[in-house]
Amino acid sequence: MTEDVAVAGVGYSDPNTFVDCEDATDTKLDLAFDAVGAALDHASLGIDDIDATVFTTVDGFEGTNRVERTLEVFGQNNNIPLVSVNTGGTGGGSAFKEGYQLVKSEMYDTVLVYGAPTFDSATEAQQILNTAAPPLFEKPFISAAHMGAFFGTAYKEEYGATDEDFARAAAKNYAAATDNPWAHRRAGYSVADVLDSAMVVSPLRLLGTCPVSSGASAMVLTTAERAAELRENPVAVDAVGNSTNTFRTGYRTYEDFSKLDALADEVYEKAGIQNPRTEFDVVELFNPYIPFEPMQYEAIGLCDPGEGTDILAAGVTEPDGEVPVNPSGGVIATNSGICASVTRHCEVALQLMGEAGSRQVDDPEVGLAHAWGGNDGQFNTLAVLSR
Amino acid sequence: MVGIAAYAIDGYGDTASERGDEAIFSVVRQAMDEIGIERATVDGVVNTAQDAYDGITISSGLTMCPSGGYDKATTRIENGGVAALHQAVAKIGSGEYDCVVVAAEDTVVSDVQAVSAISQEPLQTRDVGINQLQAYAILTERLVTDRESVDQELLVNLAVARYQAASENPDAHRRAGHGRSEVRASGPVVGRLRELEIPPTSKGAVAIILVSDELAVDLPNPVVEVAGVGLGSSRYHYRDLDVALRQPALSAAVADAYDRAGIRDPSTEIDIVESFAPTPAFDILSVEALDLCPDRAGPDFLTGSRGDGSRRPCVNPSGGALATNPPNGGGLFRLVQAAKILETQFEGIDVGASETAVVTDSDLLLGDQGRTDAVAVLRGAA
Repeated sequence: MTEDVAVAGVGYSDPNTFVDCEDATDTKLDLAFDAVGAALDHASLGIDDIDATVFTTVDGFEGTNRVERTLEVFGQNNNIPLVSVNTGGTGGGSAFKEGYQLVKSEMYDTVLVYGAPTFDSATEAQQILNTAAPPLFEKPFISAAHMGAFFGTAYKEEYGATDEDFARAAAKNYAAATDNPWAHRRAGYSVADVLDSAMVVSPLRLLGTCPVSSGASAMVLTTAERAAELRENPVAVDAVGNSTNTFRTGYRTYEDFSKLDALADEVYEKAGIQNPRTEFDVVELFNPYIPFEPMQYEAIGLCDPGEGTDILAAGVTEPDGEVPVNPSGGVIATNSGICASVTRHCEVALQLMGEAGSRQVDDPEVGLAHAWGGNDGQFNTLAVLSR
Repeated sequence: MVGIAAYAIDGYGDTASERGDEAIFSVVRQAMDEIGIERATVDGVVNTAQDAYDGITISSGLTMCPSGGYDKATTRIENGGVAALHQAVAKIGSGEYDCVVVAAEDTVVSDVQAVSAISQEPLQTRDVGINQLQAYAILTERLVTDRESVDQELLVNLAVARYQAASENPDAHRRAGHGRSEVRASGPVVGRLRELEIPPTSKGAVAIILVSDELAVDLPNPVVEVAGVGLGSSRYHYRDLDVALRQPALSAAVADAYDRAGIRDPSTEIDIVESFAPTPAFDILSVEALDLCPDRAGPDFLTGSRGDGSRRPCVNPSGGALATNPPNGGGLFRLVQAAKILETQFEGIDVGASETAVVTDSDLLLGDQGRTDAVAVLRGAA
């Protein structure tokens, strides 16, 4: 016997906490308390109703190893399990999946999933990220931003994508972010702004690269039956999955997201998705480097290989388009560490609940949440959710 | 039903024989060969590791593919081996997996005291300079004060019992069979604790293959049933050491594991205990939290069982964490020791036929405050 699983609540720390990490004033404890409290309130639950918590971060970002042990807002007063997951940027997807399995297996009824705001204690996050690469051959050459550059360069070469295409993707996200109180970059940067921003590593420019944000997010997973008792608009978790690539990257080519493509096939089969472009009403992708976005459209089946920039230009993925992608503004607008990958799931859930406020898309029924992380994107996760 | 179908160990000792990814590949491959499966049968991988021990960010990236995880569903749990088993049980229990590899490696030289220190709350606690050894010493002192029957002699005797057991276990790290005089003469560490009353840092690798009952019927040998698992976590801040003596995280994990395994009277139903007791004081606290004896009767319970494999329940016949202590893989090491005993494959002290074992684990190596404990109840094929 297994249980159907649903999202019963979603919560963020205060919108004012989603700022540049160097401008953050709230402590990790404040952020956790706010996000967990908001998620519990949203689910009409208290902390005593939680049976287990799944926490995710990258320890090196925190300044305190295994920081969750020191934050007493996850039910420790009741001695419930506090499971710590660390799979890099995929952490939110991984934690969501671990929480889903704890409920689906009937081991626990109600599970809290929390994504930490991370970066705020790392003096230089880039140095932490650099140690994720194989130490002998790759670490001396690769920083996190190079990951985005490799993909962008190969995609340009293979399919003729242009810097303007990437800037268009960024501008789409920035425009959406202006409607999201929890977005960090809310200036609504244009294509020209992106193209005029400083070069980071070709073809990535500063506004095509994610910021380092503060802010925390949490969600409550429970049985479908209990979720239906708790709220009128629970969101079902139809399928989750994740995939793993090699750690070493020397042999890879970067013209596509082939591992995400294969994972999508697997997850869609579980969820009964036949035609993602017509069946998904909202999608939140994890693309901290903007060339990823059109490439990921192709991988998740919104279009054929090489057509990602075409459907972007045609407005298919605009908030009012055929398949809205990142109506939150995405990671390019707000990258609050590992919280950002939990947020992808939170945003899809809010959209399906019809509670996304000014960023709400039109009457969505089925959505897709994605996370990406590890050395050069070693890991991907996907979750299909529905109303 | 979920069962352990195979396992393998490489090590444990002062130094690693291979690099981490090679070591974990060796044990996973060995375990797969034991039951004649190939990687295609594996649905998922759970590694347990902490970046701070491994010296690399997202360290499980290095070990996932050598664990069989390429193109598979993988995850990394930081709470230890039995917590990783807990998550693997959930994966099979979800109906979406039939075969999960759970593996860990400890090969990088790290300063576990420094890792513990950076794991403390930074504003008030870390400045005090506390690490896990100081936490162990504080709890030991409180235990000696709290229990009239606990004195230095008992603590030394418990350490010696562990070393005697480890001396006969080829899987153990410290196998010298240290006697009372050696323990007493070992260098002071902090408080009452001496060098031979704290655990070593052991290097090696370990893998377990967990299967569903649907898959188990196709395998050549009976599996060791994972009858119940439980997890519990405790608060970071406590102002009363008596709270810590009650081991709230472990007690919560025990309650869940026993409930799932249908254990009603642990003192009569459990044959073998493999507990995470990094110092002799934790041996006492663990058997009390495991409800193996009346409240506060741990000292008497253990006094009667020292070094006696025929005594039921038999505590830490492997030599326990005092003899073998890989920071990442300790819980999996103890699971393997218990599985070996239940399958009569154990090469250590004579423990006789055993049907039920309980294994505990904890991230207590980071310190007592805010710890997460994990418990598994195993049953042999008999």
